[in-house]
Amino acid sequence: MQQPALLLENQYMDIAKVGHPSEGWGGKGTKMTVDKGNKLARTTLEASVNDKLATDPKLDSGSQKRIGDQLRAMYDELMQQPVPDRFKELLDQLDKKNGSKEGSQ
Amino acid sequence: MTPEPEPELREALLAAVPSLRAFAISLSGQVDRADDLVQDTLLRALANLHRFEPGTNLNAWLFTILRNLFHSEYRKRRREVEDPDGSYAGRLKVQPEQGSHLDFEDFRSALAQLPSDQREALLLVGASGFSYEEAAQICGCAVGTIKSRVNRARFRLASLLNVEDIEDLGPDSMTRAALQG
Repeated sequence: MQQPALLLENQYMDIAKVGHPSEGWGGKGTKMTVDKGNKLARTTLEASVNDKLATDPKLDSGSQKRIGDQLRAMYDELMQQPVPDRFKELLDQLDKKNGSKEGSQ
Repeated sequence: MTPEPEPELREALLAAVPSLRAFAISLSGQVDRADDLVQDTLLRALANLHRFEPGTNLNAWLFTILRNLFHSEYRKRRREVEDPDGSYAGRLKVQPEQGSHLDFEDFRSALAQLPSDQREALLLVGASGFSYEEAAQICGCAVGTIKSRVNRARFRLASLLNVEDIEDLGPDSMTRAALQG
């Protein structure tokens, strides 16, 4: 249904799959496909030998709520920062230029 | 052919900027770099408007672009200068320059200690308001992978943020040991 919106992603798919810059997951998580999604539990058990926090732990709902609240509070603060003028200017500029010029890259 | 950005679309792009910035800042830990990322995202979106299917989720599309730019840039930088994740925490403490509450400092530094794939999954689902399915599309991975990453991220944050509480409680040192694996 939303496939068309994701077309752009395909040209960058390799980037997403190949190099995860994190120290955490190795290949196991990133190689996983949609089909294998429900085998996740087994996969993580297998991975637990190598990964620090491999088995999916369950967090009690109180802690989960606290984490969620703090995350959203931090995020809301960022969201409320004024939008820098450069973005308004950028979009205005492109709007004006658009008659004569296609795109920008 | 690039379709003309219609006024509504321009408004929609502009309206997406705050959430793109919040994501980019939380992802990169740097306001300047985040703003560059957002700008590149907008430029790339405008150049690829013909690939966007009207009626689908514009925000998810923009987040996908931003995320991919972030990762490709990260890899490029990594080749130039070795920039281990440790420096991220240091940078986070300095920003954002405006309107920051010290209350969030602990949280930010805990967030900075997460592996970046867990951090981005948590930000998408827990803060940006995407469903697990949307987050999976944005990250190009399975829904189960996103769920797992979000779980781990929450759990890790809880253990990072609660370490002192747990110490105060005393008898829970075994739990703590388990949390820290």
